[in-house]
Parts: sequence; C-alpha cells; structure tokens
Amino acid sequence: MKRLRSVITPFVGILVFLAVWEAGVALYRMPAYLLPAPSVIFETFVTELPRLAYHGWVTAYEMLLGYALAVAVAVPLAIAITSSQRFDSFVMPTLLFFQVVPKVAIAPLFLVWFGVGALPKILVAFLISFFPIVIDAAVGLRSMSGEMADLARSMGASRMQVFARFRLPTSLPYLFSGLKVAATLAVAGAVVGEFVGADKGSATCCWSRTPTWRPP
Amino acid sequence: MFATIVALTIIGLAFFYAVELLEALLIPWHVTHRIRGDTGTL
Repeated sequence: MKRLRSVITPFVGILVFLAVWEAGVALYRMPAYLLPAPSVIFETFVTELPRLAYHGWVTAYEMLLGYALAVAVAVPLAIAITSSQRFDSFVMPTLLFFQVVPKVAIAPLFLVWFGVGALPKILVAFLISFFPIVIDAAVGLRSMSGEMADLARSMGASRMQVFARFRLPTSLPYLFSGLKVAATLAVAGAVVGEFVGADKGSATCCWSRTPTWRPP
Repeated sequence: MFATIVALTIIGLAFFYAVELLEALLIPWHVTHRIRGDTGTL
C-alpha cells in the first residue's frame, strides 16, 4: 500500500497541476495562441503523433550520440585529471573556456563547419553535457579516503587494483550525479543545435508552426 | 508548438529515468536508493 502510494503520488501531483492550468485557461478565457489548455495540447499531440514521433526520434538520436560521446571522452579525461596534478592544471583552463562559452553562440559556427546534418547537433549536445560529467567524475575519483587507500596497499593491492576495486566504485555515486545532470542538458543541446539550422528534428516542428503561429 | 514541447519533455524524462534506473542497478547500496522508511533515526 505504501509502495503503491509512493508510485501514485507523483502522477496525482501532475494531474492537479494540469487541472489548475485547465481551469485557469477556462476562467480567464485565455486565447489558444497565448496559452492553450492542456486538453487542446493533448488533442494536438494525439493527432500529430506520427510526425512528432518521427522528429522526436531524430532529436533523441542526436541527443543519445552527443551524450555517449560526452561519456566516452569525459570519464577517461576525469581519470587522467585525477591521476596527475600537472595534467589537471594543464587541461582545466581550456575545459572551463569551453564550458563558459555560450553554446548558443557556437552552434551557428558548427553549422558553417559541419553542414546541416546531424553532426552539429551531436556536437552541441556533446559540449553541453560534457562538463558536468568531467567535474563530478573527478570529484568522485578524488573522494576515496586516504585510510582506505592505505588499507588497500597494506593488503598488497596494486595501483590498478586500488583503482578498479576501491577508487572507481567510490566514485560511482558522484559520476551518476553528473550523468543525470548531463542527461537533462543533452536534450537542450540537441534542440539548440536544431534551432540554428535543421531540416528534421523536434525544433523544426516548432519552426514550421511559427509563420502561422498555431501554438498547440 | 506546445505538443512538440510535450514530446521533448517526454524524451528528456524517459532518458533521465533510464539513467536513474541504471544507477539503481549499479549502485543499489547508495543512500539515494534506500527506502525512506528504512532510514529511521534512533
């Protein structure tokens, strides 16, 4: 019963939010071009499901590739950063530079360099989701206590064994925090890439609507 | 436009929960996956 309640509660929260939205739109007679009611949005969603599914798949594909690339680059980089203080000092300013530069400003450049295909979107998704993974993985890899390392070494563990059996498992909760933050950012990255220029993908659905401005 | 936003939200949520599921499978011992009732104080 307790478990069932914990599963149902989030859905009840969403339903209450949608009910308040629906009532607010009806009460203030809000025009659909400003804010459509959830029921109208749902109706449009169902009617246009095949088109949304096609473009959504394109966005998901770009997002997943960008995210996978970010994980593949960020985790080994975090290992290298935590292994050498000099490498950390060498690479961190460049990493910070790429994080601080607004991705929306870089996205048109990617379009010029790599064309209208999937690559610019994958690269924007990669750039936007890369940094949280590196930082959290590096913090996680540094989080193992000195006593734990001493204990492992006193039991005859090699450097590789200390890494694989102690340092890596200790870092996993931190790494997953970064992966979860990056997962939400990757969607935004792919959509930013599509907004700049694309012939398919979810953002093109938004653009194709703009000339006639049919919000739902 | 709002239907597209809903579709993107669904994609984002599905991906986030997929990562969370992976986390629950790989590190079930971590504090974030303990059942709240079990973590009582003295």
